[in-house]
Amino acid sequence: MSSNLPSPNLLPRRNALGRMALGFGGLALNTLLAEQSQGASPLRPQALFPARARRVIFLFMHGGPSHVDLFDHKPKLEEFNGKPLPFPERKVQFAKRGNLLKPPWPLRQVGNSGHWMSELWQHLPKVADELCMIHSLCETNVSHGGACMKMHTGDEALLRPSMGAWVNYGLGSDNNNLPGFVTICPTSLHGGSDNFGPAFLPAEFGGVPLGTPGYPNSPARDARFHYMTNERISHQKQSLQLGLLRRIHERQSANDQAGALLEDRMKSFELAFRMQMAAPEATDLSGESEATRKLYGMDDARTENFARECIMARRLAERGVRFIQVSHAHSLKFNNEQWDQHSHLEKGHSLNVGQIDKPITGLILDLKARGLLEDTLVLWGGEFGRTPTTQQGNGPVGRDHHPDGFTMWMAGAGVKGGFRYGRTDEFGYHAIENRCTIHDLHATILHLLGIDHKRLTYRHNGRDFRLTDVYGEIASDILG
Amino acid sequence: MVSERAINPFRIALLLAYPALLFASLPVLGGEGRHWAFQPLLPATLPKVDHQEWVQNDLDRFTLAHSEGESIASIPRADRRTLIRRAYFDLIGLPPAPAEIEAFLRDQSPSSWEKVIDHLLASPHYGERWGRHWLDLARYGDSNGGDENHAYPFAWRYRNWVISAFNRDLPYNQFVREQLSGDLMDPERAGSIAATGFLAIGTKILAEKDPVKKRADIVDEQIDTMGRVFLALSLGCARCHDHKFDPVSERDYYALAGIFHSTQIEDRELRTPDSAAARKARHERTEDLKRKIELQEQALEALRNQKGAIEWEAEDFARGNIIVDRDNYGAGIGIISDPGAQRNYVEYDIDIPRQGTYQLSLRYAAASSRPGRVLIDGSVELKDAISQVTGGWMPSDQSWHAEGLLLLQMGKQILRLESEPMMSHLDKLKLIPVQNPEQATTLLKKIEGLQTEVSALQTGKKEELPKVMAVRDGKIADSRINVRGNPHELGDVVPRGFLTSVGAPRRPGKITNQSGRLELAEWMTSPAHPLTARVMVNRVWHWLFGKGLVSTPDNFGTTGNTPENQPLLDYLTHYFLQSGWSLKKLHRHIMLSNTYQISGGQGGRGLRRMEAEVFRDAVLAVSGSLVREAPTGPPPKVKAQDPSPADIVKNRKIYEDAQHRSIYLPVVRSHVYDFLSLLDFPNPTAPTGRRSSSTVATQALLMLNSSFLINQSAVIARQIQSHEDPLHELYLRLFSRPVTREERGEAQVFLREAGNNGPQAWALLCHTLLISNEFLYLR
Repeated sequence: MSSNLPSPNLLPRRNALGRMALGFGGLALNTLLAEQSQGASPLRPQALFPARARRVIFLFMHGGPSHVDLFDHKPKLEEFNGKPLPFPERKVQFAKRGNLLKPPWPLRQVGNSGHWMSELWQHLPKVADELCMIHSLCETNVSHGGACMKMHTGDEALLRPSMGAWVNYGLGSDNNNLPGFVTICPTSLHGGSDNFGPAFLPAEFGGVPLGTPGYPNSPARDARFHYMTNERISHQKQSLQLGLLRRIHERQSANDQAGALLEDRMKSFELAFRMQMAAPEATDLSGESEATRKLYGMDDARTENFARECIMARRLAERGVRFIQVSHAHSLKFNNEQWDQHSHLEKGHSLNVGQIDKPITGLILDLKARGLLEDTLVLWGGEFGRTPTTQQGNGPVGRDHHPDGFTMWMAGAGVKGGFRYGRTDEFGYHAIENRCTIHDLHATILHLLGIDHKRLTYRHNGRDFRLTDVYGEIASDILG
Repeated sequence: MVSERAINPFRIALLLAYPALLFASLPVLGGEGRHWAFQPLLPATLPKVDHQEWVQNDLDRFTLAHSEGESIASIPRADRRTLIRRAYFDLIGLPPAPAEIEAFLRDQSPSSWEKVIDHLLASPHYGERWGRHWLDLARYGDSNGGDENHAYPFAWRYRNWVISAFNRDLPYNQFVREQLSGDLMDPERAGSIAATGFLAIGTKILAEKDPVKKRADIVDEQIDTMGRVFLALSLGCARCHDHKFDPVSERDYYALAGIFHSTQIEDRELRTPDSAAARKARHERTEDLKRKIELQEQALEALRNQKGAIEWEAEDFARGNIIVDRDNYGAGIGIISDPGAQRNYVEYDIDIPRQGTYQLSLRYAAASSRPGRVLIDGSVELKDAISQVTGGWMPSDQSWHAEGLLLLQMGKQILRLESEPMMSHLDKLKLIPVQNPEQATTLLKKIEGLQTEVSALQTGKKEELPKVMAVRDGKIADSRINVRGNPHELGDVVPRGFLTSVGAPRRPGKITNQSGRLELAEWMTSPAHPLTARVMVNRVWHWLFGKGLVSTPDNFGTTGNTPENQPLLDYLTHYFLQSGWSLKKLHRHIMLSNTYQISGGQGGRGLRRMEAEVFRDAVLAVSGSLVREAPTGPPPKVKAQDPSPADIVKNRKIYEDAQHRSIYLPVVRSHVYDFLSLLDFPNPTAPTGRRSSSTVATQALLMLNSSFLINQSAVIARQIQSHEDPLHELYLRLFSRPVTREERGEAQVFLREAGNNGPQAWALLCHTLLISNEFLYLR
């Protein structure tokens, strides 16, 4: 733990927590070797008020899923199909837009809640009543970069800590053998690693990528933590090495004023050694039952990749990782990327939904069956929605970026299942009721975790920074 | 005792000359209760001290006077091995070689320490070490970062300018002025233009679709960086409202904004005699080739039947996944191109009146080659089409290119063009009936060969003209206040100017027909205000001691910390100004003091962890792998924009194999080499005057498992075997000291246990010592 960090204002326990986060430095190495990675955690978040959620799984749909085609039912689009939008478009557009377009697939109501879902969703209706739809996300940037950075960090241009880093900073990890914030197969696009970085928060709170960040992103099969293994020497030799290192350091500490600092460093080595065992175990799916594999769709080539990512997310959640992001950002070979269907809406969205439908449904069912859904907040959504109009141009039809009104959903800890919050206008263009800005979304997530977003601050360059800047209203209606 | 004869005359001058200057500036800067940083320097009165014997130079008087009961005088000087190691790492960022340590130990003369300092200040590695400190502040990067991580292929020339400026000991005031206005000061001097890279290399949100906001964001980044770096003030706050804590008003902000809105960022060519000659030769050769093409064209024309030609616009297609652009390439010009990387295609339903051979010509513009294919009814007829480089993307770069001959049946068919991942800017297509296909084919081949030569010349154009990221004055205008920072809600016009309550007095009416950067630079470095010099002196102290006299080196505002020892800070600032803003003189003065030379421990010097690059460079140095000469040319090319996992692995390999000093490694924003970022290399998106020094498990994993460290350890293990006493050599190289008996015994046991004294055991021992605290932490 560095000694020159300014102390945060909110949580005086941080120092103690930070030191403990370095691991059980006092234990002898051979004891460490014998110990299981899942010991009782010494870390218990002392949130400012009782938390509804203990952890977050963010299913990030990179590119911008189309709200009007997937969840936000707008009969007017049928009626006005092919006609111009009856009011002026927003001033700043990404591309030129054409006329209104009805969804290629019908939407139908599902579950007791009557949530609208496209027919593309074959599995998700099973958990419809767990989902809390937020139909009024708004006020983000019209380009991927700005919108991705805004969604992840609260700012569309400046370097700011990722929301996962804020959560990790606020609550620490529930497992000191694993990082508190893990991002599975992240993309290198649109802000890249800054989307999961700590910015000015201490480095330990940043997201640790599981899988090399890339574009296209790493296949889940290859997802590893970097520097986690030493292929040249055995564990046994490495423990010899650590033994020597400890002897050298102990001798130095004995005649050095900076003993505490150096002791911290030794602890970090011992934690690293433990992580080398804990991390592969957390990401190894070989022990998952046949039933679980089937539940997520690991047995189907189409869903296998995202199923793996979702199972890894559940395993990390079980092991106390505080914030887990799973990115669906696989590029589609035939045309546009990710969920970004400027053209080929039908083909692209069919493929995308096909890849995630079963895995995310499986994730929710599995979390529920294991009793984890009670205190895990699942969040689904992209950086923006898509226009109710077409994108002007050519070829198979598509829609442009739409930051003025779009849908995300939550499930699990502390949110009302089967609930609908906010509304867009009759064309799905502007959010007009209970508008939920990205700051509001962040404030609500922190609230669910038991954190007052106005008091989770970090002093940097003379100013107290917040995830929500000077904004953020909690969407209290969605709280269960 | 170290003699400081050279300094003494200065002291007299200082004591005589400065009061006048101080009083002159008082009316502007003084005033009751003003924040300390905006007040004039304290007079440089030397404090009286008891422990005269401890005083190596006047700096020490301030330290003694500040120390409770002058207790610092009881701290011994560090031993000579520690001292030389400290000096080497502080000034050049590299460890002393065993022979250099020996020489220092042997040199008993009173000036031996001074000699070491002078030797290091004269080393070209000094600029690499201190230039890197500056690059932290300049948020240096070789790519844009942010949302669109384009490469910055010319940023390194700014980096090299910084290194050279430190090595030349360019006076700091001049150093500041050139970075703000080098292009206006001396437009003929290449170096001065390169210096303005400081204003150009920031992260820009390139995909921002609102051009007004985009411009305002870029200007904001320039203003905030400038404020933080030179004045240690956060000016960005005043974009939306008067600064809450510091005397920076919204009007002040927009006075500065006018200056930067009147400045444009661009890559500028550096004209050297060589580049001019190369340009001329290329032009002549191109003209010659074009004449030859024209001759062949004439011969071909005789075979063509232009009356039967079918010509149409590229945007009149039947199907395609490309975009049409009618706005950005000149009025009335419509082109088609890709919407981003993809498999582009476009199809035309053509109706051929008569069976025969047709020449397909395409009119397009391309700054780089984007080859594709031509298909008729689904079968590929022409490969490597649309592949020429025409010199640019603009309408003026459009030209016709004969792609080849097609044998076409009468009637309807589909002509399809494919190109991936990008597509040239295609304007028109033409099919011309041709007689005598054999002869036409021969002519076309000749033309194609000549065109390929032209293409190659166009491609080579980029390399032959050295370019820098720089600025120049653009459209000169004052800015209007953006109400609450919203660039679409405009308030009053504010004349271009500077801060009104901080810094030097404003001389009205100075900014006329230029942007005002020249005047801004003068204002920034005016000796009539203390801030710019004080901030830099504190930074130097921070970089030498690990902690500034003001512990918030980037924040001298009211929310920053007050100086621990202001008389000392102000004394050094006087010294700095008096010695012509010379950084080398300042280093020398500080390092000759006892204050710098004391040992660690209670009240003494704290431990400092090596910075990321210092660690990497030191590992390469002790393994003998370091290439000490500066590289020529640009940094190794790594993929910055949208790297795939495979690209990132490739990038990492480039970094791991590199043997130059770390300052020469490319800095890809958002994808900083993780070896460096795990050791707290700053995020290059924002200026950083104080790096953090974290100790986290992910860093320990790097230490244990990095293949770079494992490989270098093996190299060291091999090299020391040729020495009579390998362990002795190892400890000298790594720790600048001999191995102790206890350590020798411990190492021998380890070598046996870890593998029978074999090479792997030695490598593991080297690795363990490299990652141990004694190597990584400086005393």
